[in-house]
Amino acid sequence: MTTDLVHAISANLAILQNQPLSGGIVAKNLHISDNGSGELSLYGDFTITLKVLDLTTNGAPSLNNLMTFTQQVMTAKLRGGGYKGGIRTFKYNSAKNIFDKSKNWTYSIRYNFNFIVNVIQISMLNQLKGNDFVLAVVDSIGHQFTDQYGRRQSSGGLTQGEGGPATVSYNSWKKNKYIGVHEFFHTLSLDDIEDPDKKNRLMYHLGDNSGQIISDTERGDIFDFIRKYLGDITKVSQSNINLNTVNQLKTFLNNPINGFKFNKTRFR
Amino acid sequence: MVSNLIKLGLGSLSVLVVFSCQPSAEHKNSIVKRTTDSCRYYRYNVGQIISNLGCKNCHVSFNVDKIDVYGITTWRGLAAMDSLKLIDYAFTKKHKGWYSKNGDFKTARMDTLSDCEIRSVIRYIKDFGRDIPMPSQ
Repeated sequence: MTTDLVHAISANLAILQNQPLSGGIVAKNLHISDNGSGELSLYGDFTITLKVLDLTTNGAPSLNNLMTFTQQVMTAKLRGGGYKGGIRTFKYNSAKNIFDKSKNWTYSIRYNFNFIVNVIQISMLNQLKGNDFVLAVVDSIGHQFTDQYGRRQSSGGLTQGEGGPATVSYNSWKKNKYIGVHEFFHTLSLDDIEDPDKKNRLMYHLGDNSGQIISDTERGDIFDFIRKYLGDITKVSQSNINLNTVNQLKTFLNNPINGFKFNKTRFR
Repeated sequence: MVSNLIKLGLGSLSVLVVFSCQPSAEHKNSIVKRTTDSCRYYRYNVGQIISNLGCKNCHVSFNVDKIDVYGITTWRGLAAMDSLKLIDYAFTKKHKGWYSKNGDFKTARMDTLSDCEIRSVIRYIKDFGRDIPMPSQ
């Protein structure tokens, strides 16, 4: 009986291991190099997939163009690797390829990550898995916020924090093609910027942008987030952890504070 | 005689009432303090402080549980803490001295943060628990 159970578990594990990894982030060929002087170099090939769910009432004829644009911008912004110093974490044991949870260490990390970005449209919730990234396109967003000057501002997009679902109002997206990327970069951990001397940044969010730059620090923050979001960077292949995206999206869309207007019959 | 006693009693009472209704010096000072508090919360800057301290390296922000598999309090777990407990937990005596001047992470000493920065960090953490969405345009 016990032997049968062990065999059954082994068989299931084998099936799981042979299944291709899926989710918002799929990483392959991961490896770590330690220079012995406090710098780790991380290597890997990543595929980031953002699934776009059209929930507009009257359809979104420009959606394909906006998705293509978003994919191109994301690819460009994530290109070129990154560097982040002063990362306080656990000591890396290169002989065992593990992070020793009993020893603290401060590292600089050089990220040599290559990215392929896919922005694809889905029409049904069953095309959304627990660890997928999602951008829902809605008719409008009622949520307002107060900026640092005390002015009330309306929202063209809204994201539920790191790893969470993102939304964008279709009409706002048509007016500002960068909102899709801006919102998704919230999912990848970046914060909004309101500094008047940083209007040239993609994460500046008061509408009068003079550019869409991602700083080296921000790219380092994104890569740092991805490193942690994968769970175990010491494995050769990894996918991001499961956060039950469908449930999160459902809760987010139905939260009255956010004031989303969308076609509820398309949320199925 | 009785009448004089009543008058005296009422007089004392009114003096007492008048004095008790005056704001105390301490209260006045606290009002002044409040109006001159120049600590302004700016989310982006606080995010940079947190990034530089490396808080989220251990207290991961995307975990749905309050404590992770290693027994470390997640970002969500921190957000669920009472603010005073959080100050005590993060800044006062916890972290096993790692961030002290002789600790493992001495290059990022937490005691160099100003009172305003500490309050802002606490607010940043608490905002996560309050499920406030991040606005865009």
